[in-house]
Amino acid sequence: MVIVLASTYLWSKKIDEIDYKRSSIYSILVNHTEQKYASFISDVFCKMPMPDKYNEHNLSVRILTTNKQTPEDGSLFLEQNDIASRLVSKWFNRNQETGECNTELIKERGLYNASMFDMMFASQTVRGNSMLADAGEELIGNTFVLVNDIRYVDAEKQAQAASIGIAVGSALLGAFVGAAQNSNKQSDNNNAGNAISNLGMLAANIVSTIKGFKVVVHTYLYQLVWDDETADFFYGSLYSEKADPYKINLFNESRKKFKLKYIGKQLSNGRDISCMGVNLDTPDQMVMKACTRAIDENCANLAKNFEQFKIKEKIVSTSPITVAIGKKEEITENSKFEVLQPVEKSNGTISYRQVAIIKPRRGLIWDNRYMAKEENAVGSSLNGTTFYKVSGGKIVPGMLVRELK
Amino acid sequence: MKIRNFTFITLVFMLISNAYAGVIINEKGKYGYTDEARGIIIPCKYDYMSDFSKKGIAIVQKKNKWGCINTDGKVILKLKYLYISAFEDGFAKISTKEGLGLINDNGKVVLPASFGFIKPFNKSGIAIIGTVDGKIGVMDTNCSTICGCGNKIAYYNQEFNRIDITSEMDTIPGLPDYFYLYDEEQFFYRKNGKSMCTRRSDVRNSLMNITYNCSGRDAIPEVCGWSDFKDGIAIITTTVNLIDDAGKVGVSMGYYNIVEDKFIGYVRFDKSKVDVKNGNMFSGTNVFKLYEFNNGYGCCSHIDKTGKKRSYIFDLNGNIVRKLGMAFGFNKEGYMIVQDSVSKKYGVINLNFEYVVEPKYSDISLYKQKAMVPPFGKILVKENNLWGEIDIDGNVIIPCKFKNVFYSSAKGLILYSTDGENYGIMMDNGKIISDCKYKDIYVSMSQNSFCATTAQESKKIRIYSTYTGKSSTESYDTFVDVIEANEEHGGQIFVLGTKSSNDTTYSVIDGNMNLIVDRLICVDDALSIANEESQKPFKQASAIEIKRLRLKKNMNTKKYPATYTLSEEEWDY
Repeated sequence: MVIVLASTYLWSKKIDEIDYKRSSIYSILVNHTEQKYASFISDVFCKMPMPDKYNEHNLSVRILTTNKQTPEDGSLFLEQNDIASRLVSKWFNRNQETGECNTELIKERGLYNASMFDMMFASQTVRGNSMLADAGEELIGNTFVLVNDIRYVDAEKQAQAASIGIAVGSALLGAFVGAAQNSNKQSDNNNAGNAISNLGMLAANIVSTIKGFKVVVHTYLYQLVWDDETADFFYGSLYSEKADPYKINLFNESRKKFKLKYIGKQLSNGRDISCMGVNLDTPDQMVMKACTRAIDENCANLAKNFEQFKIKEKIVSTSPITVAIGKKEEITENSKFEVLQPVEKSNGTISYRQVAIIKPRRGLIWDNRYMAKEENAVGSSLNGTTFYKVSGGKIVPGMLVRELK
Repeated sequence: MKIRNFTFITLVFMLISNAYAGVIINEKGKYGYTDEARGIIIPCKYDYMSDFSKKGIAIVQKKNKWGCINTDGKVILKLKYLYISAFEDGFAKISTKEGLGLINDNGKVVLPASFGFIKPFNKSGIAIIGTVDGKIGVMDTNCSTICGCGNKIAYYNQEFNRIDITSEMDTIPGLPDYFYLYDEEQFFYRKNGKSMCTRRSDVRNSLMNITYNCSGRDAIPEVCGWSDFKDGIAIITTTVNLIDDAGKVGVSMGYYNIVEDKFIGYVRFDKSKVDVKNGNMFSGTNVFKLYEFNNGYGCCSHIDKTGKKRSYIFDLNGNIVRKLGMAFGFNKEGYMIVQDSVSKKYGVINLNFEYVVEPKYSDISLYKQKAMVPPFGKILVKENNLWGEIDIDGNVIIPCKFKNVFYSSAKGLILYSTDGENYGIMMDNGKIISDCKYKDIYVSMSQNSFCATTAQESKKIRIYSTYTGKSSTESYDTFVDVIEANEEHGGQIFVLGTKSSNDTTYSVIDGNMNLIVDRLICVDDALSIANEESQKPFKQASAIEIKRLRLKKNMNTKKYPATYTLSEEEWDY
């Protein structure tokens, strides 16, 4: 037993040293200015905490306006304003006026040893190339844009829309009802989800309360394309550590070479938000709570449905198995997670091997949603969710968990 | 196999429990407690158990009910609550259908569960609590409700000797001796450590019980103003409507001592139609002015329809201690400008009502309107239509030779004019700093800079720093604020506004006239940047850094149509 314990200790120490690099997000609000409380929503949006487990990669433009009645996916804006190129610029801290770039942000978010990175970057050794590739795949390529179309739910209009929905036909209404009851599956791949594009608010079937504030959020997910071709072009033709007028012009002319890829969308289910813990004298607090929870919910469901957007989180202890994730990540008793062991390959990159399956323990799911503590929500005082092992081998602290569909 | 596994598990747990004292969890996820000396004390039967507090109390949950146990496993607080939070500062919140309450770390209920929210205690041992319908109150660590429940809080700000009203509950600095919670209906204050409560209607009622010496007429008081606390009490300015036999309303005016619960009324008018503003009462051609109590005296000045002026000086009991020609109330230092009723000349008296400056001046300024911080012991005086300055002993500091002078907002600086149109700056000892060439001047509190408008740029101002000797290259429309800064920033940082057709944007520059950021939409952002920069080592920011800072701060406010292609000016990358 002593020998087993000793080797386990050594093993866990090594895994602990391998850190997980987070994805980065640029989050935009689409504000329907003709709607009620549009100004409240836009006021709180920029103050909202970044969805947990992600790095902030925002640009200076965060709020878009529209007077459309239907959700706006922001695709035209992203295309016309060359957002992909700006996201890349931010990764390399590119100075618009001089064209100078550096890799400080990559080092910081990539958790690289700074001097080692510089040396490898300059020397272009196998390990250096791997680090670059690793930085590309794990960091730059994991940059996402979230376009959040947030609208206040007006109970009066809700009732009117409901009556229109019924007139359309019971089959269609049945699809809406099914979608409303099973909102986790409202992704772009779901036909019911597609069908509700114009009557999305119906699916939520929300009734506004006196002290409540409800929103419906459509979140559209895009990913920055960072393939070999893009990376080679950037490093070869555009990257410069000194002022270079030629490269400034070339970059401006080449902005369209950088692309965003549409991944999918998610609709919040608009569940009731308690006003407990909210100071009703400051209504923006309730707006903040409703919007933050809805966006967190959408991020969690997007992560469930789209592999590239999934988060990984470390196991912090094994007696009991505890991970710092919870209701914010939409964990329920039925959620299932795989435990991953990071494996360092000979070329210096990291891959992950599944070693076990775990499930959350009933009653011990951490409520880490925004303002859950102020609400005195059950589970808000826990510091993580407790899991139990369903199958698999030994689990040690430092291993990563990732939700299974 | 099962027996071997059971033995193994037991051995493991024994090993664990013999090496460990505290909460344990078994393979079914149930919580118990083990003690190093005694072994397993509490079997694993709870769905959750917190760590034990220093007083040996743990919070437990079983079948969705929460309560408390001690280290012997005895139930101290029955498991009947919806939730109990973790202990913080010796208290934990309990939750029931009715609301929230508190238990102490002995597991005893010290605040019944009936509140909508309970904030953590601040450093002064004060917690803000709120009812379920959102009214707010204040509680100390004895969990006695000190004051409650209005919807705003007013408190005595000792630093500035004033009452501040705030809805930012967490900013209350403590519980000074005098403060009040304020809403439309009631207020609270403390006297000798005891909390008192008064409703406006109670004030009215108590005033209504006063019988005025007005031939037995009924008096109905109306509260028209609340002063700051002076001499430990707050004075409410009231008008007391007098109803005569014919049912017509007259007015009397005076003070109300809320701590002594006493009305100090004195001036009575019959059948007057009055207009009360800012402590002034206008009744036809009569004008009345109530001055705040200072140094134990209040003052009411009255100009009647014939132009005759009279002033009444009152003590805290409302007794008239002096009648004067025209007086302007004592200031904080205990001096009062008075006008002699015979000669019509002005002088200054002290608290003994003795002249310290003989009444020989055609005008006098102890605290002129524009002077926010008049220097103690110096007075501006007018003689033969020209202004100068004397000290409190009557000695001439600046001869009376200027068309106009007044104290600036900066201590020790005087703005002066020779022609009445253009102004310059001088020290209060008479030393000229700047000639009379500015249409308007605003001097900073620190005395190290001023902003001025020349006749040529009649609607624009520039900043001048007397510390660095530099002036701004740009001109601005408004002066917002100046913040003391380190020497690397030239001693000061300025926040200035520029108006456009749509709105005002704000710029921040330092005393060396280096631009820190410009074109900010929100003035609060500009002020916070100025404060942040003020003590930082100076670093010359590049144009891109200035642009990114501006865009970052404006991010919260600027909105763009979703169909637009924006200019590069809007992007930080």
